[in-house]
Amino acid sequence: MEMTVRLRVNPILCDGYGHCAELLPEMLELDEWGYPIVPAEPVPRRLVPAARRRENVPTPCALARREAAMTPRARDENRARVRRYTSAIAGAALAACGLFAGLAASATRHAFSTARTTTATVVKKAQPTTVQRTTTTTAPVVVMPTQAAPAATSGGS
Amino acid sequence: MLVTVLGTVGRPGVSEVDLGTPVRDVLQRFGGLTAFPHALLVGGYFGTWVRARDVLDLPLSNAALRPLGAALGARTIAVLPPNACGLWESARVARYLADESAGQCGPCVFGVAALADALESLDVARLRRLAPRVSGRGACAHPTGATRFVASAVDVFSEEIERHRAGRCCGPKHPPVLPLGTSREWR
Repeated sequence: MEMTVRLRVNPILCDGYGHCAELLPEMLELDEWGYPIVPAEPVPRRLVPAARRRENVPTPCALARREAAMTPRARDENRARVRRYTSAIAGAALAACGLFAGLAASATRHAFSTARTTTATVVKKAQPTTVQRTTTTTAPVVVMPTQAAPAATSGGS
Repeated sequence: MLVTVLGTVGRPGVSEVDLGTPVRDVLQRFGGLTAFPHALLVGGYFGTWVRARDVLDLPLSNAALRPLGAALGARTIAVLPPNACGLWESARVARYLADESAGQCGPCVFGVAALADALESLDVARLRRLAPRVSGRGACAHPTGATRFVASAVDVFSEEIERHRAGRCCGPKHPPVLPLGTSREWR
């Protein structure tokens, strides 16, 4: 059976990155806004391998190849692959966001807890007032010296 | 079929007419022409401008309108008053259509806006270049219909374009004929 391979673009999914025109410049031309102009004629035989290369680009791109020649099963598999790519990217993005948020939250919690303990200790030994400040400058506890200082003065007075 | 008629007729509105009724008789049902128009917009905003002298004696059917490049479309006929400016009306509608793009497909978002820009600046050469780059390139037919509308305006109002280039608008005092939606307010 003669396989006719045609190119098709899903204009909704296409964000105009232009990967497709880079991979298949013989057939695809970008318009003045960067969206591919897809020819209606079938892909010439010698270009079919190049057109198939599109499959190896793991970015969510809208170019669907050879839908006309695909069996429904192959089409479903192709779509599932696209879905996997997009969900993997979305998942990675979400995970990155979650990780970042978690880190930030734990960092702030840590900062707060250390600040609270330091102020507490400062308040406790706030009786010898002025000597305290000179000692803290040499001490390795450099977490928020600006916050600890007013807390110490208010606690002292 | 139900037909909407607006513009320079006695009683604009909606009425039921038989398919294939001559356009002149259809307009008669809406109170007749109150002034002889220069052009009619057939098929709504995704439709086609046609010269009045070409269309008035045709039956209102897709088969009869096809040679003019027109179709029944939304079954709406806008009769442009002779002292109104078809170019200005078209430019308003083109801008409206650009703003009404659902924003899903790039060629529609940028293309229909570029069509509106080109029509406003009377750049006919750019319009002709743009038309095949916009028409048929959306997931829906919005850019296609908008291109058809703008292209027909350029064809039918070619004399007006010359006049505008010379600095004379044909109907600067006329109130807007083609109504536009209010969606820009709720969006």
